[in-house]
Amino acid sequence: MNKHLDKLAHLFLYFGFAVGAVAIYLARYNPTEQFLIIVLLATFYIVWGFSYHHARREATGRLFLEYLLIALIAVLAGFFVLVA
Amino acid sequence: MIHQKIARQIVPHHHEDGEQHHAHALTLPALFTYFQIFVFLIAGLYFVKLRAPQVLGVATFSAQEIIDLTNAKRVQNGLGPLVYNGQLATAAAAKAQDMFAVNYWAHNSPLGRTPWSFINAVGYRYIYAGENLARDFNDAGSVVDAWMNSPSHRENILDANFKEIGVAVSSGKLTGVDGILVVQMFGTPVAGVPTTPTLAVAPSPVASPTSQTAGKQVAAQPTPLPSPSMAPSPAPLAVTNPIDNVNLEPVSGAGSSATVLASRQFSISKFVTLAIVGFIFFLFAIEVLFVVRRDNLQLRPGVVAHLGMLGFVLLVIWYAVQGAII
Repeated sequence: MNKHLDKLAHLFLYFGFAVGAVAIYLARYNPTEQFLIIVLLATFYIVWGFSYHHARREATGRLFLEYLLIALIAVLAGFFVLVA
Repeated sequence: MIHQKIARQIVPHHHEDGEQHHAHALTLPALFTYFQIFVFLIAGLYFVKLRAPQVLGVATFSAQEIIDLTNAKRVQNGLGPLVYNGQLATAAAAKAQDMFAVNYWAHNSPLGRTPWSFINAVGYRYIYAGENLARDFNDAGSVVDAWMNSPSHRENILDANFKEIGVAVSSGKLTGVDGILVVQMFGTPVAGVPTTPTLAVAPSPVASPTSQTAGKQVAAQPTPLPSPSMAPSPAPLAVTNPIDNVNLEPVSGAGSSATVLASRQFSISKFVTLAIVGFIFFLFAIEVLFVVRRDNLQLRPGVVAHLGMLGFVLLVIWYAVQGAII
């Protein structure tokens, strides 16, 4: 993957986070919806990570676990504050 | 040596074999530990809420506070204060009871009851009516602030057509969650409006699912017919019924109040989450900084993405507000 595509891939990821931030703002005073947005973003992040690193031929089980754990931490953090 | 060991916990480094390593606090076992901490925190929170919720704080707020704050907002905006009406308060309490009994969080019940049906049931004859709903707040100020930050609820509070108000506050379990419910009902009685045989139309509800304002027709007949397309705006109400979700003691009147258990839960969980997630974010940020400054270190795969995900969560938690309104 060349540097241009690499930048585009990261732009796409951060664009997803920006869309998520707007969605969170629109869902103010609706914690359940905000939590669902976090779950969606975490899923998007995992799928992006798997696709991106697979394309770069550097996907490993260890790296995938890292993505999974960080996504789980994000979801649990959201659940702890917004739902529990 | 000790400071070197500590540094290896938080910064990327090379081992003796020349291989680059993460900060030890960012290895897979460390990440799994953070995950476990959240699992224990959530389990602990449920345990405490079940056994001794007062440990997490106790707060009380009343319908009168909601009315006072609502009127203060109106006066600040050049409007006259609303007059307390016992019938509207009774209607608000009945609405709250119905929400607990049928277990729904909406302006219209699953059985088809609109907010107007509760107002009509107490014999209140109105030209205009509106309803605001709120739940799971810890104090009256937060409730009114949340409504004022929502265009559709703010429209209800600052509607010059409304002359009277009734509020119910109650605590209980709604949609599986213990908390406070607030029902705020607005109205303009038929007798309180200058006689005009024409149609009086309240502002059409904003396209927000959270609050609606109802317009009523005033004609020769004294009984207003609620428009089926308009739902009342939310009012706060808290009902406690640990057994069957039904509030057996109607809560109405300006003096109605409710006690919030575990009132500091939100602020505590927010602080703890910001600390843990912020710490992990900080470690990844340190890693990026070290790699940028030192030529012999390379950025590991995924770090930029991790920073984005953790930064997003930090943002959400930082701006998270307690309670919900519709």
